[in-house]
Amino acid sequence: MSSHQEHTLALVIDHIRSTVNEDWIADFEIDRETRFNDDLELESIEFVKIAEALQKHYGTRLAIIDWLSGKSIHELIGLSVGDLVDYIAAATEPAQA
Amino acid sequence: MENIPVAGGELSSMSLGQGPAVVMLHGLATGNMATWYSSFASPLAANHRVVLYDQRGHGGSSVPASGYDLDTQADDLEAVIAHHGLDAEPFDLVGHSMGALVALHFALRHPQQLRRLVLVDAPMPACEYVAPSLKGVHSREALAAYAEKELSAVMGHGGRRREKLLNRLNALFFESTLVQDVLAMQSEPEAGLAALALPVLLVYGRQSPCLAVGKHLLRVLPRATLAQLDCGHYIPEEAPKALLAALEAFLISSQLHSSAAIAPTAEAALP
Repeated sequence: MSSHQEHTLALVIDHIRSTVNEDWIADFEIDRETRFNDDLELESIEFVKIAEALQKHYGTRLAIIDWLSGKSIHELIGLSVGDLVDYIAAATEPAQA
Repeated sequence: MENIPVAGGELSSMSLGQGPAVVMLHGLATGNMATWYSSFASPLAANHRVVLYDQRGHGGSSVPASGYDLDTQADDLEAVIAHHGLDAEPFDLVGHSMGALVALHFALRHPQQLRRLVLVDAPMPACEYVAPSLKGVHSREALAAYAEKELSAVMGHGGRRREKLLNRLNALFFESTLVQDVLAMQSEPEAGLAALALPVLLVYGRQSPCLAVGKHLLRVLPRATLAQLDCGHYIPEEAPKALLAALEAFLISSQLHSSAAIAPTAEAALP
């Protein structure tokens, strides 16, 4: 994993923890393989909040709704943390010298 | 995500995209902004400004002890519109189920604020179509049974999600006036419906218990079109692609009166 991907993963995990904001999530191990549905049992509205918080963080560097567009909320909840990180990392890759 | 103060609580809301405004209202109990977010609001946001909010007692909004009647919920909608600065020019309004009843109530009160109206499986009157399923729910056990039986979105829910939904429903059913407010929801007056000059798209499921309401509204509303889709009441979950196609055709196609292009299943209103 590049440092850019590692940084993105850490940021996504932070947003998951702060959005869920319940005691158990603070100690729950989250990595690339963690699934929003099977492992975290997120509610669909929680996924929406995480996506919106990430969009706000990145501003115009990211168009998360374009990526989500047309997918059902069940498909989104079925994603892994790594799926989301890969999309964001690719979209926000720093320009190479 | 923004919070908007309303009578007795606050509502969670968001706005996506740029362009002519569309406000979307979800249904009772299992509905929230996620009903619309990825399947509808995201694609529509390519050429619209889409405003979503969690209605009182739902999603990330608070659970006020009262105010689930249509008057107060239409007031809530007004607060959302004012917050997002949509009061300057007419916008489109889309509602599913209870959200459709709120949308229709708002439309009758402020027709000049709207461009077009979409009612998705509006169960009017709610005292007849919604209340019977709520009436027998007197305990947490009965609530769990109600949720399994009536709420398609509960199916397949794991432990945490199910528990969170039941906690919210518990507050709505037993610590708020929701049930009595729904029991008191009558049909809108026929004269008001007959005078509503807006283009209205009615979308109903062929297997929905509410289909007769759609046929009735088609007769009463002067500029209505009815699209029947192959599904039941939970159209946003059961037939998302067909609903999106009907919405896009209606919202993008036009200011035209005739909506012949809407969907192959559409039935034009009789003159």
